[in-house]
Amino acid sequence: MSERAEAAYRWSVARRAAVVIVGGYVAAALFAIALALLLPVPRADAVLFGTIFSFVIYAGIAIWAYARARGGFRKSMAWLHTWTGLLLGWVLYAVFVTGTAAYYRNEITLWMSPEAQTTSAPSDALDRGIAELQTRAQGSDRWSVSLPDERDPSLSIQWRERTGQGPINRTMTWDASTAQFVNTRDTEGGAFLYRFHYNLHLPDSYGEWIVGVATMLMFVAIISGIVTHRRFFKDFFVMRAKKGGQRGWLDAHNVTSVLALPFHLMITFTGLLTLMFVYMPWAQQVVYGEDTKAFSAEAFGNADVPKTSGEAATVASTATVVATSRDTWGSDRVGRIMINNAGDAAATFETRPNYAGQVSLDHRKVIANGTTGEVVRNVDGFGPAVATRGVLIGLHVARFAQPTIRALFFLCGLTGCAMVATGLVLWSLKRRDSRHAPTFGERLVEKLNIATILGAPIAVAAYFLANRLVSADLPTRADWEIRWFFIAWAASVLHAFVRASSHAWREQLLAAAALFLAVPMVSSLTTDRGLPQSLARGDGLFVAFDIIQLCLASLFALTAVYLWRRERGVSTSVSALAREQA
Amino acid sequence: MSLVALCVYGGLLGLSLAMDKHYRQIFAGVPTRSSKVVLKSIGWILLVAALVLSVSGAVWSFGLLAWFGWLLAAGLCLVLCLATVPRVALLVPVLGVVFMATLA
Repeated sequence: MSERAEAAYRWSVARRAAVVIVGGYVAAALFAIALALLLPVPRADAVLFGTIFSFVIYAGIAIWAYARARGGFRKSMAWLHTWTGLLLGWVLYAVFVTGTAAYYRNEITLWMSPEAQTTSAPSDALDRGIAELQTRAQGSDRWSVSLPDERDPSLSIQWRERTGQGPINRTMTWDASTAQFVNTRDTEGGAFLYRFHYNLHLPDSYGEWIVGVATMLMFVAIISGIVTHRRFFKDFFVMRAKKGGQRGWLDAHNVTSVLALPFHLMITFTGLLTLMFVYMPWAQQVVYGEDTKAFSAEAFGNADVPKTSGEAATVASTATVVATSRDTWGSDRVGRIMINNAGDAAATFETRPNYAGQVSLDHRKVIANGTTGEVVRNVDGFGPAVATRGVLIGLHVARFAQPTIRALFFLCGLTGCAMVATGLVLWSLKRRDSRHAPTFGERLVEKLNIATILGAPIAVAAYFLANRLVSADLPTRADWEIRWFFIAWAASVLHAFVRASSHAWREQLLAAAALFLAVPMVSSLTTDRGLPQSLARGDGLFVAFDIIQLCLASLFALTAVYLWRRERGVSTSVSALAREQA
Repeated sequence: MSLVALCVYGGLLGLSLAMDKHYRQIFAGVPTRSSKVVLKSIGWILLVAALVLSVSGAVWSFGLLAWFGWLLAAGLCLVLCLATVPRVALLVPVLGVVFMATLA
């Protein structure tokens, strides 16, 4: 292609992309507003339905706009799939890795707080929690007790403490071995990985927007990918691993995409919905104006916590509100109780259910007066769109207890990581050509591939290691754990750019294997809850966590060996060929 | 739950054996037209049976999620077997039953 033709080509690509991105967004927003105004359902439901569907419309517009952009439909979709997949593929991969880990968010937090043995909670958990708060949290306006359930056996109390530098959230966890609430080491636990997967640890909502754009691109990449895949059913079970090269990677990409396709579609779409009003606030804005509180009151029954009155009053018994909650949700379904403005005449109670027995993440709650104990409101039963949203978001966040289904979701997440990783590698391999030196862009992609495909897991392993190695009494130690996450990732990026690519792949695979192997070993050396002790104690959660680290370590080590043997195989066959020709 | 997994795996195995390529990996030659029909029917029947079995549990929505999850797990297992040691694909259900029996 001449320089001029190439410039014209680039211009046409940029022009069409700009029209689709901006025009598509405006059209989707208008569609959301139209549904919100026209649907014959309560206005909160209409806003939700309109906003939910607008993302489908947006993706549809992108597909339609590119349907004939590169000749035939299939060819155009292949082009669209290639570039939407590549553009923010690295962000998407990091989101997939941390999001997959976040399926075990609570479990990770428990592992990262080894001071508390949480295998069993006392039968009078709530009373003990409130008694502890009475002695520790006087003067705090916000208390809560999180009760154990089938998924998370821990009992913990939280309160907000006012300090000179603003409010700090305190938490204590029940330790079964000493039968009291204990302070665990300062850590963000699984919550950091969970938050990183949608905000990339960036301030304001930059991270949320970057992740949102990456998710939308993935949505388009999935749809165009299905169209592109010529042998969807014929190659359903085909993986020619021995062949290696492009063929093997393409098979791996196809298998990981197709077998978990329902999951990939679900997680992408519902991911957009979790932050739908960040990305698509227009329907809500048109109907409610700036009054978003009115929306959340109508849709979810949310209400503001009243301000303190300054008048002292004793906290009433929570017996009535708990009894009402149990009657409404079932005796083992009370998940959390919040006590606002304890000690003040404006005190309130609010209970929330746990989601151990259901998919839907709904907004049921019971609100009571905190000085009389009387129930004020029992929010139960929602409109059709609120219920739909509850199921869709519930599918994404998976708060239910079922351990087998959680494990299968985790496997789906890992398969998603593999899908994105193989896709990125494939882009590089397709352009690798011995006849010409790689262009700057091709080199950059290869380096970024190493620095994310291996950088992200290395960062996660470093985060776990930091939890065991950073001194327990270091101030702001939770921040240090997070710093180690980014330091390790930065090291991976640096190494990828400094070393020759083939060396960098192998060395980082081995580094990842070593780090994941080190996690259970260091844990065993620095705490009394290493793998042998956990096995002896029958502590399933700690055993499972350590074993997963060992599995990940073996996975990375085996991949390193596989790559090394393949490379050696290739070089020996090349030298054999050279001998033959000589 | 484990019976669902077994049925899903059996279903996928049946469907894969109905294809010349995979039949050849495990047995000599290619399947006859009639055995293809039989294998395909067994495959679909087992998949549907697994779905019915799964959603008839206490909470149907969990059953549906489990079915999709097992579809991936069994599919990955089958694909990896076929890619490396094809004949082991036939042994997996037997190993599964033995494993379940030892656990029970």
